[in-house]
Amino acid sequence: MPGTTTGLTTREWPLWSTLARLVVTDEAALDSAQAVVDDYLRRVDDAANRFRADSEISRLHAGGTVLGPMLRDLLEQALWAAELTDGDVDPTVGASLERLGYDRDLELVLDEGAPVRAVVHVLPRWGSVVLRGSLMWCPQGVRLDLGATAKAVAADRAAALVVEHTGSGVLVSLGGDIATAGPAPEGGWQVRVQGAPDDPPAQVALPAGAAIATSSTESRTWRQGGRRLHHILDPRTGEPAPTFWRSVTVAASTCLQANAVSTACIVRGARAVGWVERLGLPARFLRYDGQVLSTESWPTDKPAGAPR
Amino acid sequence: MDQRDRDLTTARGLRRALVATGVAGSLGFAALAAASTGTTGAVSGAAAARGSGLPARVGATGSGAGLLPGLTGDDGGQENGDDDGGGQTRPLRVRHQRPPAAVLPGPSLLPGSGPSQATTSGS
Repeated sequence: MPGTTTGLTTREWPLWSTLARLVVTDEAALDSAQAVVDDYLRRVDDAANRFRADSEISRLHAGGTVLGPMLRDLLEQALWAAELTDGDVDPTVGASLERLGYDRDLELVLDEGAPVRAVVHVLPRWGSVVLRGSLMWCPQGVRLDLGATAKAVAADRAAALVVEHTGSGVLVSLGGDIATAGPAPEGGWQVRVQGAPDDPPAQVALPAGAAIATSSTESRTWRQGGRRLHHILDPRTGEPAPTFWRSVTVAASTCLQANAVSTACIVRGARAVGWVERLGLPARFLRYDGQVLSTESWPTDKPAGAPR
Repeated sequence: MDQRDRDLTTARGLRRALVATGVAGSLGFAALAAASTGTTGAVSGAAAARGSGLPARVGATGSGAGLLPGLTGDDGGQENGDDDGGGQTRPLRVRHQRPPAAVLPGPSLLPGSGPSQATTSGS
């Protein structure tokens, strides 16, 4: 769906049960930029889509140990995020997600799955994954889920590739994980901040090259055994993180950093604000009672601009 | 499945690959063998090389089935499968090849104005 906004050209299409959005500052670059993004996202999907039996990650789960360059990059970045967040964002939660019913594309997950049997088991952690060059080892039965970081990495990489191939300034949004690269439009990239449709919105201007991501306990939800579940797990319990924050938005120099920190904030709950202040990142926290908190470097909330 | 993949399906092939890539030297074959089989803690290089999975002489720090907390494991990287000698227990350590994860300085955001070009929503 192409469109223009204040001289910018946009295109939007469905992707991974959400939407992808591409905005370029040079209208003539749109088709080339889309081709670059499409090609990159196809390779990400081939490597890391755990819902596809023919993906590389599925073959890895079946007993492989050798990773291609794409999956290795995505796993390296996921392990980096795990280290940064002290394990709050952990790529070894795949088995827990499957146990909770998130074992297929979200559009296909049952609205009301069967109750989950309580099973006492030891959870794997990211530190049990050994990655060296193109070789990987992990304890038997570990199921990787790169969903927490792969979209963000893909947004970063795709935006950089668009600039490399077209020279145009670009914004790539993959389900709300937003990366920018190249020259920004005058006044910066205007980004609406709204974790879920009913949430109070805000709007910020991103400088060139900045990224922003939001994690929400109101998106990617489903029901199982009478429980409402969301997709952000606490890796220590294998259960959805307690719903202290309704959503957390973080800006950073890469979308991976923004996404890793915003996701970890959901897991950390009340401890998150001080942690993000120490990291020095602009962040906005929305509580379930509607109260908005933000770090010092987050601009004062103003009403969002006209809906796009 | 190419020859390299086939090699990795056997203990000998795995060990050869580890040696070829330098993994054996820095992580130790024992830890990697334990990691690949979900064995708790560390086992001695000799035991791992024999595929016996016998308990370790090097420091076993595992705390649960299938776990290798903190990437345990360094048996000295003995290519011949011998353990590191003397039966000494010592902390297991992985050599990181990159600096610890840390975020770069955050960008300076300004309050938004005008039509938005994208929405960051929950993902």
